[in-house]
Amino acid sequence: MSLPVWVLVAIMGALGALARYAVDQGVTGRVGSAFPVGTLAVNGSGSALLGVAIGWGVGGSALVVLGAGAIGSYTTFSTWMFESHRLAEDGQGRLAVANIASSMAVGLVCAGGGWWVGSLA
Amino acid sequence: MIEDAVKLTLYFRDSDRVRGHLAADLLFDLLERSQVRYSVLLRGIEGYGGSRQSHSDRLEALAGDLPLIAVAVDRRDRIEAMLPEARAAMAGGLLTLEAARLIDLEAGAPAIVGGELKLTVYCGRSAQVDGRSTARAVVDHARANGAAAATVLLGLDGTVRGGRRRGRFFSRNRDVPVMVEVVGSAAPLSAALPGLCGLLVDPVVTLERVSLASPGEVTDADDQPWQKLTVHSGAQAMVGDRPLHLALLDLVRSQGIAGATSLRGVWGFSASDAPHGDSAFSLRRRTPMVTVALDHGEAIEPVLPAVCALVGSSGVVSRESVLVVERSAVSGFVPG
Repeated sequence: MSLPVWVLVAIMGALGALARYAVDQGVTGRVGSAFPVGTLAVNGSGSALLGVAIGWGVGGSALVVLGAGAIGSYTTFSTWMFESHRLAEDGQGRLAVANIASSMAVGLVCAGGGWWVGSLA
Repeated sequence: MIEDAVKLTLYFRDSDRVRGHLAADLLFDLLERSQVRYSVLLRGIEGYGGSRQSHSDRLEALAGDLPLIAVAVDRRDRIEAMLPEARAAMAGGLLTLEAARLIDLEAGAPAIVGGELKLTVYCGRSAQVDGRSTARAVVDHARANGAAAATVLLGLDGTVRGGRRRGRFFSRNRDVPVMVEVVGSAAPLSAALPGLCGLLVDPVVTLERVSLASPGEVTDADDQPWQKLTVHSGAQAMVGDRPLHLALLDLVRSQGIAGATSLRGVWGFSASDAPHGDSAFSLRRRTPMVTVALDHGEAIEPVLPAVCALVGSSGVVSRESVLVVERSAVSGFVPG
């Protein structure tokens, strides 16, 4: 991988992290805090974005910059797992399972839908 | 010997900054300089106040600015002398002063009759007595003597006998103070006092008057303008499918109470349960929880029956008067 790609991954990664922080804060602030909707929102929207890019035919270095850089830092597996675990710790086992299941369902639907939209263009 | 003491409590936030410094650092540097006898910095797991925005360690988006509670106890004149600087170290939040009695148990334990009390013991995090944790021994001793609830709260920073004991990331933090809060009727608590002498290296405790409330038996209203409502419960207590301490925060928030914070203890009991804490192989947390809510007496009073009904037999509700409350400006320097 060439130096410009490394640099672009770093820059897009930083922007993705900032976007994740802003979206998570915004959604959690508006919707409330009983269920981790902020994390669901970033993972769903990130999956949709990557779906659109792949459906549209983005590939090679551009996909690395977008996928590993921007969307890689925008979406989060660790926080999804941490927040599920935290719900289970508090005795909210059903919400923990719902958090895992809903994120997977929303992620798959968003990625598939995004791919379909991208491939139309 | 009973000294006329004052307990200074500051309610603020993790990310509060004053003149470029963290408010917590400024405050504990001040407590160190002033050689305050006992002080402890506690971090809540969830709470709200001032802006009414909730902060919580449950969600990453809300975890950035958790509530902090700093407690400092010393003789009245010493606390009053550092008050202007303490005010100046705050970027927002609440400052309260409560009357407390500082008792040196070596000089003899007083017998206190009537009413209900809160007893607070300070010791090092790793302090041991007869090969076991001093803090746990204090909890067991309190339970054996018939206290209603006791909780061990871990400090992050503090002073013990005037010396700084700050927690550090790469350290065993053996001497960082913990605070053991015990509530109950005066008779069993004063009976427990002499036995504490053998458990503590520095057998100095503070005593405050509280009133315990139970469902259906709400005690007479206090004429003090501000009150602190404290609920000792356990992380395992649920209200429907929600943990009790979170349901409590929701309740007082929806009733317009000015501010509230939940603290997670490491060991303790409330009501009829045996002392408990987390265990290594259990996913469910079983830590004791202490939830504190503050507002004017006339705001606390109407909420009390609902709080008692919610807590039921899963916890212990107590109230105490707060002598002085100052709301610090939301941001910026507060002149002393």
